[in-house]
Amino acid sequence: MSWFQAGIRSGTLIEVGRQQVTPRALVIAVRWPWGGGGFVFNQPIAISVQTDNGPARTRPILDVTLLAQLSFLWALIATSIAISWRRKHD
Amino acid sequence: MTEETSKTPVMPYTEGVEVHDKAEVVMNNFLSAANVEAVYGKPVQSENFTIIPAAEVLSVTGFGFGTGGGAGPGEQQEQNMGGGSGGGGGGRVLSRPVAVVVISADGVEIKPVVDITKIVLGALTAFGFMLTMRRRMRRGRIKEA
Repeated sequence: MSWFQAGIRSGTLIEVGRQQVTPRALVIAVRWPWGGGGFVFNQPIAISVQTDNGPARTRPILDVTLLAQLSFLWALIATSIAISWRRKHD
Repeated sequence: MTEETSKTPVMPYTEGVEVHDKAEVVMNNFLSAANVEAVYGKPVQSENFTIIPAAEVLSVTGFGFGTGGGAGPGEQQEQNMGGGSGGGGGGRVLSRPVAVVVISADGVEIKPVVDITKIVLGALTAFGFMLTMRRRMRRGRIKEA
């Protein structure tokens, strides 16, 4: 296993009636370069839905909580940059 | 086995390699435990609906080990040889629900799981930080004037 791995992995096909659902997840695996541990991050990103007649459709899974937290973080960074820029130019 | 070989002290380096190999096996098992099956739960059947829970899973592990050895002073150094090794480790698996996939005869619906507490805490932290920055900026301007 290399020190860094990232990719999208598909899970086992789930059949419900006429619909076949394939879950997909983003997997990021990191082994500490100095050895002795690591971490694995798994995030559900989409499901692929296949019906008898129609083509396979991919439905994204949005992590609303994570998106909200990231938007707050970006707002903080943007505000800090804006304030420091304004201080320099005043 | 002869008596001579049984009296020979075990080299600490060999013990260290064994500990390291065991730790590697444990870590590989730990890392392979987190996969797509861990992210998506088992489908739950309820009347006409099938529900699949989806969660974000983060597993972290770390370990360390050390070995040491040496020989005592004097002429009988081989008999006074000694050594030891030790190690420790830990790990944690964090899981957070993200969404619920609802499958029915009408189609597939994805319902997000919203953690209001985390969002409100994040908003309050951001707002507080912005307010503090603005106050500091105003104070600076007053001092300059």
